[in-house]
Amino acid sequence: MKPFLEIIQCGFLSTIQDLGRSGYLQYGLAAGGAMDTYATQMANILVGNNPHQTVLELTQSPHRFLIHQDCVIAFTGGGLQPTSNASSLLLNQPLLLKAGSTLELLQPISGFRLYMSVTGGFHADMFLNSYSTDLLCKKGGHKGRMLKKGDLLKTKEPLTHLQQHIQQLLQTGTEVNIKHKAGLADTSIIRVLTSAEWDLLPATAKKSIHKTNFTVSAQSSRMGYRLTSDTAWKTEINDIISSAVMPGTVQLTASGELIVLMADAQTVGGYPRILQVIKADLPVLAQKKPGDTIQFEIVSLQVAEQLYFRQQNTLEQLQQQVSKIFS
Amino acid sequence: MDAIVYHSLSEYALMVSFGNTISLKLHRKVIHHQQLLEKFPFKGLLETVPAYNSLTIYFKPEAVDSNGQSPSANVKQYVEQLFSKHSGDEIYIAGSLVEIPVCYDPSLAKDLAAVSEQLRLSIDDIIGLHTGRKYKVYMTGFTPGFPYMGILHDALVLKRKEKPDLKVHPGSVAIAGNQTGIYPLDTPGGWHIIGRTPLHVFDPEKENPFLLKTGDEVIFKPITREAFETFS
Repeated sequence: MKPFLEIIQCGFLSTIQDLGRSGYLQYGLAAGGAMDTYATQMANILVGNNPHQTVLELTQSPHRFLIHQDCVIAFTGGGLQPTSNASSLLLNQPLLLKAGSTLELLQPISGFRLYMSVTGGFHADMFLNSYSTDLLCKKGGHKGRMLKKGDLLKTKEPLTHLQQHIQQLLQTGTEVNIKHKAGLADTSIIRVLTSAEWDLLPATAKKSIHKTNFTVSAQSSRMGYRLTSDTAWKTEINDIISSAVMPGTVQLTASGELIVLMADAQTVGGYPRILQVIKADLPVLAQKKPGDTIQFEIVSLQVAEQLYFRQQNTLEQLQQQVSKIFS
Repeated sequence: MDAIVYHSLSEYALMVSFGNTISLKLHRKVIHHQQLLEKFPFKGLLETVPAYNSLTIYFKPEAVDSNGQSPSANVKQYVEQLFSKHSGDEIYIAGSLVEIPVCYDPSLAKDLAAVSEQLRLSIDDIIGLHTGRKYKVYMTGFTPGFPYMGILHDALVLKRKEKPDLKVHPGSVAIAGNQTGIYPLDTPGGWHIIGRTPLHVFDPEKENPFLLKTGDEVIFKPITREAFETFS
């Protein structure tokens, strides 16, 4: 298969991701995968892919791509405004890019990570049940590394009937605008559960934590977000007997700062786990960038489960809508 | 006997704690319950993470049979019932015994001289104490394949380094507190490096990239610098 996309210029930390690997947590291998799993699934659904297909996770301007073959793509998430041949492209819609056109991601918009899907997915290396790039092991994705200038990307799988139909329809110039509200709201409120060591916090801290403004520090990465605030948070015990942690776990470090673990985080840890970002709001947090401010809101496990199922329903409805429009 | 405590860490993870200490007996309990769950899995179970005193059970909420009820409550109920029903069983299957060659030559063990000074032990004494017993792999984490092993001889107990190394050599055998470990990758590290193994505890090129599994036992065998270089 010939490459369909050539990278002329690439922003920092752009990688190929899917929904991550499972089965190796007990060996200390992180699940990894896309930071914003919701935007990833949505980008795939909009072009008729499996929700877990490979996508590009794109951060930090400037990106310039050259398109070598007609292709149907979708952008979701945020952070960067895509333009093609100097006109702005819509987010959250399937789009046709023609051979010979350019694609540029230069202007910042709200959010932090832009996801790009293509019909058939991006060709990538498989590593332990997933195509996502593991930067620590230097495996998976595109040669186990971040994308860079000169990389030529291919698609992974042949188009399905639905996808051939989407492409033909868009090639005839038909305007397609899928009416949906599947995109997540941009809010600073991140909902959390209380976690295993919540009770180690003094009563005053328990009462004030949800009224506190936390700023995402510049020392944040795909492994974790460091949060700073005016308060130094303390527990009576600084470290616990190490046990499982996961994306969304809010650890209280010995220095009194909070760290929210993200997609590439370690699998076990010895800092007190005070909160856990709910699964439905982790994608919202993944769209925050250094300097952004957030507040926590504590919810019950049952509410968190309902919110997660609601998100899954939204994605299923979108999937049905896409197949209806293009069939 | 310690009471078993159940705590939902998230919508998709249930932690089961077996006590609040580090001991072989407690760890045996962790592995026993992991094996119990492997033998009697529930629909939606993904994987488990054993640690010193806890077992965390990961599942897919949408795959759990819960009739529209809370999947995590459902999983908790299943696991509680399973564990109490089989509380007297002994299905514990011991892990493998793995011999790991280690070269303690100071040229490959950057902290050995400093450790010798701090502990007031000769290098030979350190090697003797480190190779003198079997270690249990209590947990794997920090980086892929990093084994947390114990329990170290009291005479070798040292605090972690004040200033962690920015990059350690893969295969570095290190000690901290009452534990010993092996660095699989060239990551930062705060443990004292006293040797190096030619074996790969994590080899991403292999179909099973991991040399050790939680529950395995490890014995270190001293080798010369020459044997290290020619090891294949």
